[in-house]
Amino acid sequence: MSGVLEKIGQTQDKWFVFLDKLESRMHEICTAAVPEIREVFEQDRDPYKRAHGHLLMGLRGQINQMRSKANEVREEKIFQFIDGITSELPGHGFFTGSHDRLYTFRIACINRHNLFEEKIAFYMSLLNNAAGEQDLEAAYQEQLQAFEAIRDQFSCKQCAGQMTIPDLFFIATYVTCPFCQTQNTFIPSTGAQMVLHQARSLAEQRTAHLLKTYEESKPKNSLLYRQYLRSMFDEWNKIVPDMAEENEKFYQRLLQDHLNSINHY
Amino acid sequence: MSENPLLTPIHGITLEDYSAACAKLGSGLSEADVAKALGIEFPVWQEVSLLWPERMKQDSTFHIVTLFGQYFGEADKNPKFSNLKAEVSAQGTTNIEKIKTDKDFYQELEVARQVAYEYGLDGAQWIADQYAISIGDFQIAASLWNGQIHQDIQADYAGYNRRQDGYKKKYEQLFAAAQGGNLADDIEF
Repeated sequence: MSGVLEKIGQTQDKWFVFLDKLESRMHEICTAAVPEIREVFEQDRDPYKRAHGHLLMGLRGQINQMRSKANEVREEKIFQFIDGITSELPGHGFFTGSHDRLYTFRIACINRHNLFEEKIAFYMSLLNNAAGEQDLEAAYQEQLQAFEAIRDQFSCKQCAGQMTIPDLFFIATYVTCPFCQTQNTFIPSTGAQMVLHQARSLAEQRTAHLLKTYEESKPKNSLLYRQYLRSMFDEWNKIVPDMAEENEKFYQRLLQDHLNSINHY
Repeated sequence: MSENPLLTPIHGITLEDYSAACAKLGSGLSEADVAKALGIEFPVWQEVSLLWPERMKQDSTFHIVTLFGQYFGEADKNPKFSNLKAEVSAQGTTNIEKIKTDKDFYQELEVARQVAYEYGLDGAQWIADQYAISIGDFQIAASLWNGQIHQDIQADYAGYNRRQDGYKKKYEQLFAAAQGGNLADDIEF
């Protein structure tokens, strides 16, 4: 009996120490990684921020390795241990102190593991948010200024007459020469092309306060969501007016999806 | 002609052609090559490539995106691109053929790609570097095998998981070894 109790106590101690060590390593890795993630994000010139993405995935992968390791140990060293001890104890109807101790051991180990999972969630969130939100407004304003600086600096490929690009285009576009009517192909810069890809995210940043108001409403207020959605699309259309017609069709679809959903009141 | 207005060609480009063009872009062709093969000018192609995804976004039934995936997988059969192939090494040609005909090879590389991402590598680039298989050809293989794999899972879920776990362990060891081990390898119970 005392031998069993001793084994249970030792196993619990080992499990707790094992998870302590994993958490300590997790803390060490993540706190060291946060400034590096931020630096890589800021210095990554790739508009899709792939270097940052790969770094983040690598770190999350290491946290997941720790999770897998803990899961394997829980299965092999805790649950199988419980099964082994249980088979050695008197059968059903013969509850002893060992049964009680085994039960409290099981609950303690599971609870400790739940705390470990909470730590994982905390550090995953820390890593995911380490770079902060990209300032899309600043990037957009930068593109508007860059366009203003160059919009008059084009000449017709046919007659060399000076041309003005009428709008900030995001894809290759024909521009007709006002002198000889030749169609010139205007190819926007990578930065201008990115405005199109980031337009929705920028519109979401501009209207994030409305979404927050909706999300904080209890019960969820559908009217607030519809106000947010309309405002978000209005902003989106302001950024890329040429896409307004297509955006409106998408708006109608999202609105319909929302009205059809069962998660609002 | 389909009655679904979302399937109406855009500037004469059908969803079949657009899907095949996307597959070819992923296989290393340039946008200019693709526009030429479709017989349209570059700005027209760019507008087409802007508007087909809009159609997919508008379709709440996901029919358009499903067809896109199907046509993407059949890109090699599209006559408009039959004479147009990106330059590929002899090894690449063999592997591209293999991934489209050998399901196990595809499944192993699919796992390898995912594990590579978990180790902070660009999984698609790793496949391209190791096997000279572009992301476009990989996605074509994915759309070719998805239905069969789905059936395999239904027929033998445990066997499927066992094979996947085997591949996963193999590539976890490979990538971990290349990086000097996992960061918690020294912590034992």
